[in-house]
Amino acid sequence: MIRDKVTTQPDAESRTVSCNDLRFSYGKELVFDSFSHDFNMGITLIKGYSGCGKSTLLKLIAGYLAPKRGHVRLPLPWKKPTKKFQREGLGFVFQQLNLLPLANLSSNLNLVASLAGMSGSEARFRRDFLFDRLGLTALRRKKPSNLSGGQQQRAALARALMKNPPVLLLDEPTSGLDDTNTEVIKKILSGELSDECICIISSHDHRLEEIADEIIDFNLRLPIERHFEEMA
Amino acid sequence: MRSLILIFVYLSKDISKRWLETPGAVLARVSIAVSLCLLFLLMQAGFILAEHAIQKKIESFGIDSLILQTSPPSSSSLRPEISVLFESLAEEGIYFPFSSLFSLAELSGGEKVRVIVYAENALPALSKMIPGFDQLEADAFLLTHGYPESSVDRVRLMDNFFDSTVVSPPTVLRFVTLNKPVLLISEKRIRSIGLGGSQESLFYVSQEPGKLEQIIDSMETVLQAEGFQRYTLTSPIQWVGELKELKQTRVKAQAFGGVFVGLLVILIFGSIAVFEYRQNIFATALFKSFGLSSLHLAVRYLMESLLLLGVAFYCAIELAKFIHESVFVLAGFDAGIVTLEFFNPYAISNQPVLLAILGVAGFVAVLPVFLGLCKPVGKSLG
Repeated sequence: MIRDKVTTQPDAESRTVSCNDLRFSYGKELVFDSFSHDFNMGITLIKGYSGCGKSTLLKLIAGYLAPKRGHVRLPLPWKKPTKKFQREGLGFVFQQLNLLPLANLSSNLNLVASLAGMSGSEARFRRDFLFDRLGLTALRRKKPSNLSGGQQQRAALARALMKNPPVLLLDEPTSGLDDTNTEVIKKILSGELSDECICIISSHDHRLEEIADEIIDFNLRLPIERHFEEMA
Repeated sequence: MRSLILIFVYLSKDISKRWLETPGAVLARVSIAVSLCLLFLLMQAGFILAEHAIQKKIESFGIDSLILQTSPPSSSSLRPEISVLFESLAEEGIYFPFSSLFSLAELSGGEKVRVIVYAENALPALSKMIPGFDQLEADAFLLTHGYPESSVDRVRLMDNFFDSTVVSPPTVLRFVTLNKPVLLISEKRIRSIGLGGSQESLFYVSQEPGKLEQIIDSMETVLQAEGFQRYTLTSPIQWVGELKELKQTRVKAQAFGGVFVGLLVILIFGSIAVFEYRQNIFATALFKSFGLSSLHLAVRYLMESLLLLGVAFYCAIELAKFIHESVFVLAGFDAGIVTLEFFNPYAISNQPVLLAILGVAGFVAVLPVFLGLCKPVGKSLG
């Protein structure tokens, strides 16, 4: 099901993430076969049951997994998911957050900024801004192990937003969060992303639907027998 | 550049944290590598010292010298005397036939000395070896360093007293004198006092370089043909062969020891690196997700492996220096040869083989980790 689909204009091709005929499997377990879709600027929410391939799709777009067939085309100047794209053009929040355990929050963000080639002053400004917006200023010197789940989730989002990425991929960014924390995240996603950012969120959290420009329901891609099993 | 420094700092922190968390793994790696390096170093030093000892013996004997010693003939034996048997050799070198008396002489100071008897045909050799020997009108000489040259010492041989002229022993004769005072006396004088019972010997220095081996072969053929049952033919030629063999053995031992050290280092370092990589896969995958090349992360493991091996190598060198003298003196080496003041086999510049083995082993040990780093990020991070 696609809601409010944004029309892809030919001159806007360079502003989309295009998945073309993607096929991917974990061993013999097929996840996608012939998946094609253009993700446009704005927020796209992918929803679906656990294990339907939402996270896998994000990893394929990020270049963390390689498709068995097909390809992902990224907005210019990257075209395809390379290391340079991962350093400079991608923000990714993993489902398990994956903050560096030995580094404090500031260092977690600094490392990403420096890999992206941001200057020290630019990085400091951006980091302080994000800490302020996400309510993390007081926690900047703390290590991830000393933070609550919600705080870690906000810190992971701050790290993903640090380089103001043109492609932002969020894997279950609000799972297990209370309404207050979810509101903070929704607010920053709806208010602080640049107009040209392509943000793809994988989530089954209905609270995020209201900030999405497009919703893709992976449940509709289920093989029929599994669909019935899910419904039962 | 800044990012590289930050990554380096984080990776260093990661290494030190892991070391502090599991000091046993670090100690195991270092102590095993130290022990292996130490064994290798001591083995190598042992060979080198043995080579030096032989080399020294060859140098002090003289490469073209030989000593032939025979046991006294039986009463029924008709074998010729050695002094005449090889007389033809006198034309090509220093030919010094002599006999060693079984009785000792006593110097005026009470010191007992060996008695060497020379025949008439030994006089040209003595003239060549002892400068001014022709001018000395005596037939008994005390070859020693501790007395004034040309002074006279009263010696007693059995119950006979006679004067001996002090002569400084020639260096070339040190394997005859064995660096001890010796009474050199003419055969005529010995006959006059009626002493018997001696061991026939021949000292020969070839003046044609490289011919000694051929001379030895001919001598052995003649001795066997003349019915000499028991004789000892000593020359540095055998030691040169021994030295060559020892060097070949050292090369083999180095190769075998090197492979042994290398394999054990690969096994131990490799296992621990793989184990730690599995524990640490999250951090490495995370760095890769930020766009960091696998090469940077491979360098982290290589750096750790080489750092530990470097520390182990250094510790082994220092430990080897510390225990060197006591180990090799216990092993029976001459104290003069084992002192590190004259020869230090543990200088780092003398250890390119061990360093190369450790370098290669350190690299091979982390190859499984390099393969692990090829795993896609998406399969490591959830």
